[in-house]
Amino acid sequence: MRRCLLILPLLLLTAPAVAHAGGFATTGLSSTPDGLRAGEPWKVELTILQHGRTPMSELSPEIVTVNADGNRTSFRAKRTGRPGRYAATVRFPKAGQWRYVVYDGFNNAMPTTFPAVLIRSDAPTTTVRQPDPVGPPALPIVAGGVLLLGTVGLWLTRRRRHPPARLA
Amino acid sequence: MRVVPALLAVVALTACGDEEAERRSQPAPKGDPGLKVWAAQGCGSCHSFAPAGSTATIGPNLGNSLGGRSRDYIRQSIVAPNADVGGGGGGIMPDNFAKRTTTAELDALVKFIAEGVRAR
Repeated sequence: MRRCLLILPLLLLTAPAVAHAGGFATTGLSSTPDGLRAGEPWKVELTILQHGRTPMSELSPEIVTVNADGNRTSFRAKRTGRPGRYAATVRFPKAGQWRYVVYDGFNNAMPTTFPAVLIRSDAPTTTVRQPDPVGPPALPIVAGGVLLLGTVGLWLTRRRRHPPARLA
Repeated sequence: MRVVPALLAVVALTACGDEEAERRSQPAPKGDPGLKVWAAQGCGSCHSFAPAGSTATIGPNLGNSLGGRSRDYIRQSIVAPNADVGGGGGGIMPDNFAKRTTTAELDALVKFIAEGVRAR
């Protein structure tokens, strides 16, 4: 009995190591969210291979998105029926810089991380229309110029017709 | 008569501002094709590599292990990872990447890593 009590803590200590004795798994993504717009679905397929070779089909992987403030949202990937393949639909609700991390469900202590991605604004062509250069803002300048030219022209014409009287 | 050229200059400058705003609204360029291969092959599940945002520690940090190496060495490290394993014996990296990737994908991946580690 005393021997059992000695072995028990040892077993508890080695349990995590035993849990990961199956080694590691690689997680491949069918695409990256590069170029995505806010709210647009990112449909991605995950391929999870134990030791980078053997498909693993009984996992519950998830993709976690993290915004600039550190707020995290989790998107669970579903089994596709094909060995080692899972599908997820991820949305980045707002434009800006985001990070995303993939937990394979096998060794969640070491998720697969990726570089930050810049999510664009949701409106496809929301370019702010610049005022027409010859429209309302330029109109006063043009009108002022025309008025000035007219005044100068009129003054020159009148001067030619009625030259100033010369002093004797 | 000097007023007319001045007016033309004002109109021209306003037009340039419009062009600049349009250029800013263009979509950002797409990501590196090598990064796409990196993500597709799950390289970041094992290796740390700053340009790929990867922090895994199962395999070596590529910034350390491939820094200053040639592109040929990097290619060999991907397709035949057990050819030059320090300390002898076999490594744990899969040796089937030559079959899993096309030549173009492999080229893109080698280029991506080489640029990230400042290869020779």
